[in-house]
Amino acid sequence: MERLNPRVQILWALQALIGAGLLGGVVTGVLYVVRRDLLLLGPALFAVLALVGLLHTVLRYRIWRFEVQDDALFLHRGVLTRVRTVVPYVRVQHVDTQRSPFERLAGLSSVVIYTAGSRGADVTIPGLVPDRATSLQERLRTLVGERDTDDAV
Amino acid sequence: MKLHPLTILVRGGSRGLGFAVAGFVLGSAGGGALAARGVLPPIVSASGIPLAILFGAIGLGYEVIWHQRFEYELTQDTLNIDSGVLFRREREVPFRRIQNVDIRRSLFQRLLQIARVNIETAGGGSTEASLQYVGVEEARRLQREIQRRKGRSAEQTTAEDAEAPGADQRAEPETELLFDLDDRDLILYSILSFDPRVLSVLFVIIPSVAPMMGADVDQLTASVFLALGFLGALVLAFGIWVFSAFARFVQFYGFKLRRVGDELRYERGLLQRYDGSIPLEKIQSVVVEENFLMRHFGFASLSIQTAGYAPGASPTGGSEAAVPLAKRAELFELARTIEPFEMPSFERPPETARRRYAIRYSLVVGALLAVAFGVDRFLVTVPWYLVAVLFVPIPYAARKKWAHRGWALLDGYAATRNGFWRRRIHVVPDFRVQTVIDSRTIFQRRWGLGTVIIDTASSRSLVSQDASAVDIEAETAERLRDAIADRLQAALGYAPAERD
Repeated sequence: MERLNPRVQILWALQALIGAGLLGGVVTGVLYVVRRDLLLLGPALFAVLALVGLLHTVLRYRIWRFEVQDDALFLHRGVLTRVRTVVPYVRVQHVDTQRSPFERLAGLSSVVIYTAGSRGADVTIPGLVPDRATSLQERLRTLVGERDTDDAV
Repeated sequence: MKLHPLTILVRGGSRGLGFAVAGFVLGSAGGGALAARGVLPPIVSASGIPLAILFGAIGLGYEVIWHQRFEYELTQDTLNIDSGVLFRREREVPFRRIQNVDIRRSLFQRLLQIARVNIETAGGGSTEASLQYVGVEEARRLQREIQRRKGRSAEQTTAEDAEAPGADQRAEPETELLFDLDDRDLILYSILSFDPRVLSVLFVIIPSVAPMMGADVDQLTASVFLALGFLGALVLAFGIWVFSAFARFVQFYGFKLRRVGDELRYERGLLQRYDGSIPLEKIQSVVVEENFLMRHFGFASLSIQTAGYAPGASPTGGSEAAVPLAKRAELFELARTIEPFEMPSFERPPETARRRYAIRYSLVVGALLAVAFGVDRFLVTVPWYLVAVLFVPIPYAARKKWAHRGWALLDGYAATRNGFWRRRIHVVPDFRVQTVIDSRTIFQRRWGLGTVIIDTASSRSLVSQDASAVDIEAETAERLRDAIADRLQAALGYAPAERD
């Protein structure tokens, strides 16, 4: 089973902190107008959210795993709800690599796998170094190509 | 080919009328206002009718030109449509991509013997092409012809050497009437298809709101109010039920399901007639659905999920049953003519699941009790302790929820069962599986349980859930997940891979 690049933790932590910061900021702002005596609740909320977010990030990284198996891609993820997905190569419509601005900053890349399914229509593997993302995309493409059937639906 | 000449009358009439009304409003209101302010001479205030005529003529004229410039044609392997007045659009729809050809006729259109033909393709919620309107005979011909040519173009792509003289001889595919809903069953269906859970809301809201109408009243008046509220809820509930039954009756009147070659065709509707097709090769899964009323009387309904477009999902709205109501045994018989699966004998989740539901319900009732207590304490005096009565049916409810769940691996199919109020049995062919997901929430992990979701390419996931085996033992879930993935490979002719 392959793990993600540890740097993805920075990315997720950053996202968690931004989220906590926004919410904490809004609450602080509202309190400033409504109940100035309770103003400290805002930063406190931020601290709690940030802590939970950071903890979640670490756990998320520890749990995230994937494997390129013989006939399917296997993913294992989720902190509260543990989700394991089997994506058979026969069902893959196409494979993309993606880099968001955040990911570019962290020097990371994601691979997105599309199927025709209604629920797992797109499966994302985040936190890959660009080289690994490209090689994974290539590998999946080959595996999918070997099984090219006419009816992906 | 051109559309039916009456199109000008129907489309032009409605658009002309719409424009005329707009013209009249603009003329009389706008003209009147301008004349009143002296911007324009007083005569302008009487411009309502002339403007209405002018706008109406423009609307009608537009539709006349639209009709003139609308041209459709069936070629060897595409349906070509050229249309548009200001913006011209030339569209080619390959037959291979066409999934459904639906015919719709409103009451008015039925009088005029014209129909609307909708062409649906996989993917995307919207209708690919719509012919408004063609003659009824022409609509039928299109439906037949598209199916025939679709079959032919598929044959050509799969077997290039099949240029044998017999290739063109598949003239009329054989037709077989699978199901015909008679009036008695239709009425039964209309009555039984109602989901009584909707009503439970009324019985909570109305009696609890009724006493608040007259605050500060004595005990006697309050109980009268409560009784009235209860009675009101009863009457309203009955009304809703009747209304829903009536709507169902109109929707499914004269329902017939036929197999025509490699397609299913259905028709239904009292006022507006629908005539749709479901290609057998696009069927992703079949779902046998029964609410508890139906189940009690031994009935069930069948729906069919296809890729990209569920019949009735996007264009007609609401979930559409392939067979609205039939005796359970008959219905399974019918479902098996569509997908030949064996009768599943379901494996239930372990007993721990049942205990889990009991605890979950207890927590919910506990929370309700706390809320009621809070209301009593801080808002108005209510007999909050009465909520505790809800604890009584918990063991029964947990048992029911547990007992109606299940999963089964059949020969070539996987089946799951869920739901007490509305029980759904999903039957998914092995080779239709898209992805297999096995998930365990934090609570499930405490109980050593897990859920396996079988994802298919059907588009109905918003209305009905995917096929899922809920709250089965974690180890079983893992085995089931791998088994389903392996069976997909086997069904498609690949050797299953070694797993650790």
